[in-house]
Amino acid sequence: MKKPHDPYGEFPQDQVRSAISSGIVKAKEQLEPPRYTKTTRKRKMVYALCSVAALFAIVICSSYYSPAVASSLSRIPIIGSVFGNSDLISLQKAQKSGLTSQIGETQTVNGISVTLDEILYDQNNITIGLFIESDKELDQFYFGAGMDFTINGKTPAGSTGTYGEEILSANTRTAIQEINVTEELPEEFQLGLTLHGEKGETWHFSTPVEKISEIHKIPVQHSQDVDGVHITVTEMSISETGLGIAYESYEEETDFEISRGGNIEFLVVDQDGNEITGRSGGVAGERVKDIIVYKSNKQFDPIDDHVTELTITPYVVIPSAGGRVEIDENGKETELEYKGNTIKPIEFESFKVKLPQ
Amino acid sequence: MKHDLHTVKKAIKGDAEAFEELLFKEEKMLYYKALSYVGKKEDALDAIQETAYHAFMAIGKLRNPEYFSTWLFRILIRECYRLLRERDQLIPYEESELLKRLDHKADEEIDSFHLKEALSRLNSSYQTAIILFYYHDLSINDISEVMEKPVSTVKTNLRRARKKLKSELERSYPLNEKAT
Repeated sequence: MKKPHDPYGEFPQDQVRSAISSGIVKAKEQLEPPRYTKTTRKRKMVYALCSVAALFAIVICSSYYSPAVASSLSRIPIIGSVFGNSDLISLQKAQKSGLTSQIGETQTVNGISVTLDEILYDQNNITIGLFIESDKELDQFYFGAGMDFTINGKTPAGSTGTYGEEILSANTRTAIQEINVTEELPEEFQLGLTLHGEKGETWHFSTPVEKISEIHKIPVQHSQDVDGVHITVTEMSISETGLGIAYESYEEETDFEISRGGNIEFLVVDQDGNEITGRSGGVAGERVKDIIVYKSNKQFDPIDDHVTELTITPYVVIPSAGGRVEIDENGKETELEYKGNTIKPIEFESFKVKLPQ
Repeated sequence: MKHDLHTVKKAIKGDAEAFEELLFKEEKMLYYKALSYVGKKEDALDAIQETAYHAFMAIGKLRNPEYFSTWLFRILIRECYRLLRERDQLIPYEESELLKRLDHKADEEIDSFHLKEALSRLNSSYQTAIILFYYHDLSINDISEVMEKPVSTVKTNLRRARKKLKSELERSYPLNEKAT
C-alpha cells in the first residue's frame, strides 16, 4: 500500500504501548476469573474478613477525607493543574515547588479521553490527578471507585486509598486518587494505573514515579497502653507537602467493627497552640489470632518553618454510622447489625516531639 | 517481522509479558497500519487496544508460531474494520492511488473527485471490498476474514463493485465535464 505523504506526525510510542498494555490487562482480567468463584466456605470467611477490614478502612477514609477532596475539587478550572487548583495545601505546595511529576498523557476509548495529569509521591501517599472529557454525558459513578494500581507490575498486599471526582460539566470532570500502601515501597518504581469504565472500557497508564527527596524523618517510638489498646507512634516525617505520623496499634479483639486501634486519630498542635489540620485517615488492619493489628501513616498539612515543637494527642473517633453485609455461599446478602457506634472511648496521654531546626 | 520463536511459544502458553514484548516490537507497524485504515490517531489507538485484547484472548489457538505477525495484523485489520463499521464510516483511502490501481481504461481522464463520487454511490460492502482489495492489497481470503463474509460473497461483491463503479465513472465523467 502506498503512503503518499506522512500526515501522521510523530510516533506516539507511550500511547501505543499504553493501548497494548490496556488490551492485555483487559484480556487477562477476562481469562482469570475472580478467585472467589471457586472458593470453599472457609476461604469465603477469610475473604469476608478481609472485606470487612477493607470496608472499614474505606469508611474511615471517606468519612474523614472525602469532604476535603470534594471541596478541593470544586473550584478546579478545566484547563490547568488538577493539584495546583485544588484546595489541599499540600498538593498546591507540591505543584508550585515542582515536586509533582507532570505526565499529561491522554488516552481515548469510546470517545472518553482520560488524561493522567500529574502524580505526587511523598512520604504519605501516591496522589494522582486526572482530567476526564467525554463526547457524551456520563453517569455520576461511571468510573466506580477509581483506579486499580500496580507497583512494578504487582499489586501490593495492603493498601488504602480514596478517590474523589468533581463533575465540572456534563462532559468534563476531574479526579484525585490517593493511594496509601502499608508495606515498604521503593524510592522509585513503575506505577501501573487502570481505570475501568461502566461499559467495560479500560484506560491503562504505566509511568515511572520517584519519591520526593526532601523528606526529614524523626524517630519517635512513643508507646502507650490504655484500656487494653497498645499504641506506638514510630516516627514522624516532614516535607514541603505535609507531615506524616506513622503508628501501629494492637488490642485483644477479633471483631474489626468494635476494635478501636483503627479509629485512632491525632490532635497535633504547635508550640503556639495552632492546630495542624489532618487530611486523611486511611488505615490497614490485620487479625493475628486473637488480636487485631493496625498500621497507618496519618497525614497532616505542611508545617511552617517557625514550628519547633509539636504536641500530639492520640484520640479515638467513634463512628456515628456504618454497616456491613454478610454474603453466604449462595450469594445471598444479609445486612448485619452495626456495632461500630458502641465502641468505648479511650483517653490517651499527650506527648511532645521537638523538631530539628 | 521475524520474532524469536521461543518468545512466541511463551506467549502462546499465556505468558503476558512475552506477548507484550512481541507487540512492543511491532508497535510502529501496528500504529501506522491502524492509522492507514482508520485515519485518526485516537481510533488507531482504540484499534490497537482491541487488537491486543482479542489477540491475547486467542493466542492459545495459534498453531504456527512463525506466522505470528501475519496472524496479528489480520486481527488488527479486522478490528479497524469493526471500529469503522460501528461508526458507520468508510475505510479512508487516497483517491488518486486507488484510481491507479483500478482496472479502468479512462483513469487518466478522471480526477479523484469523480472516483469519490462514484464510490459513494456503491453500497458499503462493495466500497469496502474495493478499498481493501485495490488500496490495501488484501487477498480475497483476508477480505473474507475481515468482513466476516464467505469468499464467494467477496468475489461477487468485487465483481459487481467493479462493474458498477465503471458504469458510474463513465456516466459521471461526461456529466461533470458538461457542468464545468
